[in-house]
Amino acid sequence: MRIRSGGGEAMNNGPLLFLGVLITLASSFWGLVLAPQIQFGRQQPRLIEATGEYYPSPRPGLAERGAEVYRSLGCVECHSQQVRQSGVHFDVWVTELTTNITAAVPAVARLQSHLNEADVAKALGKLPARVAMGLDAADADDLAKKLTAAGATAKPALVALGPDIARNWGPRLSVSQDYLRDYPVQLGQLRLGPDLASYGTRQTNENLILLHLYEPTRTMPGSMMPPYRFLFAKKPYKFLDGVPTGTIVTKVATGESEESAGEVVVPKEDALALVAYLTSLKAETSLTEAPTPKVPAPPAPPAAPGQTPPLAPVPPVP
Amino acid sequence: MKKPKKNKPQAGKAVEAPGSSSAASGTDTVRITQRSDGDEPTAGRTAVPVLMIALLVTLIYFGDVFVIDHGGELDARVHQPFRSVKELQDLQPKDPGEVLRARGQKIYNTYCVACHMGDGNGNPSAFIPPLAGSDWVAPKDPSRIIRIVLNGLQGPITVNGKPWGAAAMLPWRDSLTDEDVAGVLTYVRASFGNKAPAVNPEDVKKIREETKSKSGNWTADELLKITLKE
Repeated sequence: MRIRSGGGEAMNNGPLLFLGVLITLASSFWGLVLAPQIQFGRQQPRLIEATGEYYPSPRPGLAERGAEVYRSLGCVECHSQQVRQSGVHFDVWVTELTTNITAAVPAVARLQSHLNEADVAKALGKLPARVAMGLDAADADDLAKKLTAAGATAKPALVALGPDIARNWGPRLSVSQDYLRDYPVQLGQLRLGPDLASYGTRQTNENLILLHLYEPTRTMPGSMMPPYRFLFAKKPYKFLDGVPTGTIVTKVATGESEESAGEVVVPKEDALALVAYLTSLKAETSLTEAPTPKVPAPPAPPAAPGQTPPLAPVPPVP
Repeated sequence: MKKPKKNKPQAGKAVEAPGSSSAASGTDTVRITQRSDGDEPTAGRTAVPVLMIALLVTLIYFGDVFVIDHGGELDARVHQPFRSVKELQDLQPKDPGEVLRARGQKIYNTYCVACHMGDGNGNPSAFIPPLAGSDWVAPKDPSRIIRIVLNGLQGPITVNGKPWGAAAMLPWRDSLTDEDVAGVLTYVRASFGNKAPAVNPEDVKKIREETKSKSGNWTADELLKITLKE
């Protein structure tokens, strides 16, 4: 069969070439544009059963402005906002003893053959106690059921694994749902500084964040971050004025007369907006696609008002 | 302009190359494009090398395997390191009460904590009875306490043998959804030392329908007439 080209004598296989190029570009478009659009294009803020609220909810106005400040200062060049997770496993925690401890210890020791009874007794002495770790969902469920039948209320607890989570950068992986309110999404690709996906959980002291912006090495010795002094203004103040909150004192007013003047550094509006944005970064809501691990709380002692329960031990991430 | 047809070799027929002396070389496999002055060169056809086809097929195969393995069936909920929705389902909390409790804790701390206090012990100085260890909270069947939350309560009531009743509880019918009521009751029934089972939002919905025409608050006497299922 001969293929006629439409007048182009130099290329008598024109339509064939055109078809080849079309298929190549179309499959590339399919893979890079259409498939992600089909997968993620219809995502909407979702009602979270456990809180009765929509996630993600819009940022407060000042924080929304702070996102623009973050963008304009190029924070994204050195800070990422994506926590990676390499996997999950389950630990099993004994939260309560329904029988007395002497009956529960042999039962737990029998099910966890690598532990001897002395270890088990020591562990169960302080509840909640982790009796197994590194199991998959089915095994953890199974063990918890057996332990509960043996007289110790046991629960499997999810543990998220990965270097980012070990660095305490977030409790779980970042997923597309986290970024729905962001435009543009500032994922970042370089980590000269720490990841900020859950910065608002780690650092809640706004004055410390302001100080960090003004002089990073003061709050974080050895920090490579450049100081953002242009976000602040220096203002003189007199002794009797008092120091406004949220300011950094560089020169303290001494003496007790109105004449002795000092100097304060006052954050401008952009700095306050940026801080509001940074404290709004909390990617930790438990989602179907990214369950947030929860260490079991110790059982509340009945009728003991005003007593704070002891802190549960945080399991180390291997 | 000449038509290209003229200068092209006939399909399936060998064309003698200029200067070629042998006529016997003409077999169907040899393709030589006749060229002379003024003729445009045209592309002949050659078979794609078998190796290239094999490479292409292998690439497409591995590409497909990768997409099927990592695409999560194009579900928006599947992200690395998870591969499928089924894998995620194994990670969800098994205990349905857990989600309700988390929601209930939030509701409790918004609406209930002002009177019943954070520790559930109530506020005796304001005549608010306790929830912690209360014999009204403890029964397995929650139909009385669902009614109390929906329509409020007024008048004398005995809790754990102690008389109360100088204070009235507000109705929450219009403020809380079925899930909210079930959540807060599940939370109360699992906290402050209480150990009653979770409350199902379906039960709340049923009782909300049944008591739709109820006006005013409940009294303890009215509630005690409702028999509890075991």
